[in-house]
Amino acid sequence: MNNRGQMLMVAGLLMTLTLLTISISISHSANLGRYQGERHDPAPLLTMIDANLPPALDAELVGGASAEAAFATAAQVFENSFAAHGYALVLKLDSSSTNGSATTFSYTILLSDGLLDIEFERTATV
Amino acid sequence: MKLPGRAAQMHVLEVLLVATLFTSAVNVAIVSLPASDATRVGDDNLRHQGMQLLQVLDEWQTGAGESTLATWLGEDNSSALQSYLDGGLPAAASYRLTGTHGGSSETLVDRGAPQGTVSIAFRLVWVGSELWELELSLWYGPRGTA
Repeated sequence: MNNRGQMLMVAGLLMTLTLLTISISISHSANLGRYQGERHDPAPLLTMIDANLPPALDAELVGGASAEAAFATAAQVFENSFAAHGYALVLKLDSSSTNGSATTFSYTILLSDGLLDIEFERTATV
Repeated sequence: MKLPGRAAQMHVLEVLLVATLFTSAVNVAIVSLPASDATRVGDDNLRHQGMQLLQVLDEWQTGAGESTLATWLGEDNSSALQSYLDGGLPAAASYRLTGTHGGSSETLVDRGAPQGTVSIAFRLVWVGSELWELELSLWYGPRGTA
């Protein structure tokens, strides 16, 4: 191979590497910019459910509803409110048991803000 | 045309130099220039602060072991809510707190008319015998009188 051919090959290789670097830099920057400054903190949302779902369940039970119906009604209120504020929430009842006047609910929290998806299992006795 | 060895080496070095300069310039520009949606940062921070303020107040227990937020809502203690939010939110931000319960909605604290981008924080709170949905609208602007 002559000198000219070698030079062209090296030049082409360098330009290819340059273009690759530039395109990767730009796409990385665009991805960073899309979510720049966003806060994805699920703590206020989870504490809201943990603190305020059990009294809502209790009120439904006191009103005479079955455990399943009480959970469905209370969960619906939370799911609707979360959806209205841009969060996808599903509260899924896994099991419930009644022992005397106490009812224990085991449920799963599925929460998404469009970027962050989390799943927790919870137990509440009311 | 056949280039002499030394000239070819020089060309390779030139291409390398141009490529390095070009890449460096693009990288510096990416780091230095603001992103197009940088203004959203402040709005998202405001919403996040609102969510945290409501959370802290809900978890802050009174002497009787009740949620302070629920207690103040139950007592219709708007002045306490206003003092807490005035102190907790940035001085440059104004807000409006509304509560919905039992099918009716009421404004609990009103600190002026919203302007510009409004961020909304929310919290569901069990007060007495019903669930309240609180909405805290937040925006950057002067605070009006309550």
